[in-house]
Amino acid sequence: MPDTALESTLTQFLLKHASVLVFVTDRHGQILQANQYAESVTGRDLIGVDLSDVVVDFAGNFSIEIPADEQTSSMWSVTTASGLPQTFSFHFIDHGERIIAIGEHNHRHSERLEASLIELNKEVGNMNRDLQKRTAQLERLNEEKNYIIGVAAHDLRNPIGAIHSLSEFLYEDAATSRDDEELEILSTIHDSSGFMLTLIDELLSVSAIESGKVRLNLESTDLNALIAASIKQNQPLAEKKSLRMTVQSSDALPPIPLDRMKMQQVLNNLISNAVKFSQPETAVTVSVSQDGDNAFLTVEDEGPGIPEEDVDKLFKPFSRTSIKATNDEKSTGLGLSIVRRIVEEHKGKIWVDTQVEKGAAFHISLPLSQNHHNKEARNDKTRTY
Amino acid sequence: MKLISVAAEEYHTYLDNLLSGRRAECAALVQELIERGMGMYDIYLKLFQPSLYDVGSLWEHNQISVASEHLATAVTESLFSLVYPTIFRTERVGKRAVVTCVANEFHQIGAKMVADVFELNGWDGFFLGPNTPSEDLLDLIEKKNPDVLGLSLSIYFNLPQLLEVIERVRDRFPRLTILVGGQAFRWGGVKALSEYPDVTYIPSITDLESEIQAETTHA
Repeated sequence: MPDTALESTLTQFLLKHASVLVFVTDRHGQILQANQYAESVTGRDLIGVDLSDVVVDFAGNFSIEIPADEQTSSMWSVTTASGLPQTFSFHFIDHGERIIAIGEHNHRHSERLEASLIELNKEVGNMNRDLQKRTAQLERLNEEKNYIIGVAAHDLRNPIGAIHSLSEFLYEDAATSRDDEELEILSTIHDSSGFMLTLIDELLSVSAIESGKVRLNLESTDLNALIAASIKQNQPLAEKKSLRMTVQSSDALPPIPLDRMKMQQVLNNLISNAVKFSQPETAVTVSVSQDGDNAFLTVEDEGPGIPEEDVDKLFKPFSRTSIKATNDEKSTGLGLSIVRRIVEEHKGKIWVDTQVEKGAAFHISLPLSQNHHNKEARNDKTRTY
Repeated sequence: MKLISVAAEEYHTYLDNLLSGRRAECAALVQELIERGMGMYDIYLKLFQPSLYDVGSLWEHNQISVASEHLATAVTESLFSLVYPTIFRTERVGKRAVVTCVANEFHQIGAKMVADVFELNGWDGFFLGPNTPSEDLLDLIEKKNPDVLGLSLSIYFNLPQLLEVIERVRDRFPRLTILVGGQAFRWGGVKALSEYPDVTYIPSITDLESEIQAETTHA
């Protein structure tokens, strides 16, 4: 004989304490009864609520379809108190005017999810370890490379400097005897050793910058004055090519914190490149302006421009483009990479606009105040952490 | 040398946060300890290791669910990345170690700490992860030619698999130094290791450090 008292006690106990959702609805889906767990999961009083308000239904055509076989379950996602949906497997009891829907967590899904997440976390952790190890190895290799370059360049500088100076003396001496062949040989020795000295100096610069040994000596600087000095330095070659050198300066631009020597190096490089690559009787324009918290500088020429495929490598060390300077001057391939590093050390940016046969415009933006930029950088760091 | 330690209250707060999966709060303490000058070794021994032992004990006594145990382990593993910058930048001594968990061993965190201790001592510590098939391990040993192989065992019932791996490694690499350790050995199994030449049981991270220093000076 069934123990109805026991069954009743058990039913009441399960309705109160079991972690399953129990909905008793009419045939239209209106909830007439719900157990405590259902109200706890959904976070609301469910009596009188339509089941379609509780079950997530993107198609907007929710209806209770009772499977023919009571073993078969239907998967419904239920909106929970946290706002996130949770999926339950529902079984149904067709009880005439009433439908009883009982929803339980699918434990196999949960276990699979947990196992997958654990594995994924381990994999990510191990990949991160590997990545950090490789990064450290690469940094060590980079330091070794910079050290070797620095030592080699430093040791070469003296002997090549001696060759350069002595070839100059010999050239001056030979000039009096007017031996053209001798003069040509000495001129070649002088030019080549001069190029090697430039290369060595730039290698030393790159090595120092990459080793982090370069410290900017920031001083409040009139950028217009630096530009004027660079223009003057490049005037002789510009005049030889009858170039029109124009400066569009801004009197309103306040002094900017700059390392004068390094920024002069940047300006000399950009302006001398513009002059070297310009055809005779064209224009080179240097313009300065201010916008908000930044100063903007542009060096623009009417030269051959830079092919699109060369633009990406322009600021990389030892990169060379397919275009040649008008007098076929040799390039070390390091100048623009040094320029980029110096600009970036000043927390600025450099980029180029160019079109083949129409010229190139090199743009630099520099912060008017290093304090303002440092504050922004600190805030970013805080947010990231 | 300044002694940096974890205050009892800090530790208990950390453990609470760990059990609740509050990663950011756990990370904040680790970061603070690093800023105070605590090294990786001490962070592992005074924070990560005891907290994981406590978590394990709570689970064994049904005080927390296995899901909480997994969560605590996952959070701890994610915190390793905070100490990695120190570990991988120590000067190299030209020695290599391969560290792994044998097949069917999924508890990797102890083995990972071991690999990191090797790195801290200037070794290249290659960590293979959990559940490493024997063939893959043998291939990697062939490729990396390590000075030491580290094997981790967390579950005592996997001891036969460990012994099988040792036999296969010995067969192919008779002179390779093998170090073995892990929580499984609380229940026994150390005696079985003595059957194999040049296989040493390492009971703790401190013992591991001594062993590494001895191996470093060994020609």
